[in-house]
Amino acid sequence: MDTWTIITKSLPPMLAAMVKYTIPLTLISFAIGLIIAVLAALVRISESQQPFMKALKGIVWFYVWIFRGTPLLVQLFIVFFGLPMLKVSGHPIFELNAWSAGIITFSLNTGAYASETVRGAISSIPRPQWEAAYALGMTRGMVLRRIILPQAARVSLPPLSNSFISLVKDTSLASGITIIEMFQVSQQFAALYYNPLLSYSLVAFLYLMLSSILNILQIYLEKWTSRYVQTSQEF
Amino acid sequence: MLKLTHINKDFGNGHGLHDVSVDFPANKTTVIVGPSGSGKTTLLRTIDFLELPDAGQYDFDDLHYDLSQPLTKQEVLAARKKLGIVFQGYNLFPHLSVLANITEGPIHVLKQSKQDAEKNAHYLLDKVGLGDKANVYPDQLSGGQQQRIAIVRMVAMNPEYMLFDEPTSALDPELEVEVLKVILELAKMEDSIVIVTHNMDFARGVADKIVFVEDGKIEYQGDPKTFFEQPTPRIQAFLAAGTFDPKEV
Repeated sequence: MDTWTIITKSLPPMLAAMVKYTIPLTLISFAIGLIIAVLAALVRISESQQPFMKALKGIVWFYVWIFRGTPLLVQLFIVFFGLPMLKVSGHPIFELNAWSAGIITFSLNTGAYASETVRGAISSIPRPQWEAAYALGMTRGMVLRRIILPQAARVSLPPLSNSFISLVKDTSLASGITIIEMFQVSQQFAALYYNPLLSYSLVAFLYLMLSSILNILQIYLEKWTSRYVQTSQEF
Repeated sequence: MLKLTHINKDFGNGHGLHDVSVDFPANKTTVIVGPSGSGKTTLLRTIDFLELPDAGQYDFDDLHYDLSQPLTKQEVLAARKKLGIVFQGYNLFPHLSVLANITEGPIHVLKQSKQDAEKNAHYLLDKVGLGDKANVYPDQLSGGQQQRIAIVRMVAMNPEYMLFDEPTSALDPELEVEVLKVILELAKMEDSIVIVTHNMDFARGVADKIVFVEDGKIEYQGDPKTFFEQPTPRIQAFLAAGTFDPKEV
């Protein structure tokens, strides 16, 4: 079969898999991951001496340590194939379908990396900003929400974009836990037409397109969040 | 009336405050002077609890705090509500426009309506000659303009006491004058002001009371006239060291 026929036959199902799995998996996991990241970062910068907060800090530290220190594919396998083995009086505690297992694992993994990004961005905002806000009579929560986090968002945008782009490509690992996402579909066509070079190049191109869209999005977001700083590098 | 009694603060490096007792009269301008590292800024920041002393008594109108005990957040907020501070480095919020910098506190802390807060902000901006800068970001302004906006941000909170921590030390002389004029206006309106400054001419012109701090101790507090015209040998040496005479070099 000629190249053009293979492309026209395999491209529509690949695009369908992209719209149905790759994109939603990425968007949902990144959104949840970002929420986890901000919460985890806030726990880690907390100066509270309460035993509850101290314990929470320990838990968050442990979570980040585990998820940054083990391979994502292994995490997916543990959550999808491993966790259903945990049983209480014969009934599994976690019975997750592939989709939920994917979302949970990708969110937690992204959250672990992004929490370090957010924590670093918060610490990069100079102390006088806190002081000026406190001096207006704000509480710690208000200072964070209104003064520190908006500025930290700008600082964390480039590294968060890295995480986002990584996540798009990492969703290909979901093929390992039976999700028929874009890469899984390309594998099927590679076997069907005996042309792995073409099928895998095609899917690589599609990932590249997705990443490029995110690249452009990043450029616009950076422009918008940097509207208040003079960033010219020309001297 | 704002009064600190037997304040101790140990930074563990020889600096700090040692048994400082001082009062800042209402509707007057108190100027804190002293050599670098003497503790003037620490003293000022203590008033706003940006530094927490190890011990001492804090009396501010109806607030009476024993500083050897940990303060609750509510106690700190109650004091800060009556205070405003202007910093040496302006510390405007870079992500907010000039207008939003000024209305941030009134809207979100004092719960004023956006309309009222903005009206007042425009009025105050006009008074300091920056009426056309409401919609720019702080980064686009000179140091003198930023500091005048920092003053407006404080005044918009309508504080009982206004604190100034070396407000012109980062400015060149021309810009310094435009900021000093604004502070002088406030002093003339009989606001309660505490100001740390290195500018002795300004101190002399504006002070109702002088506090001289050295090595974390109060070496003089009282009438500016006596301070400048009949100084003790130590004060005289301090005042002389601040004037530059090329013939002596």
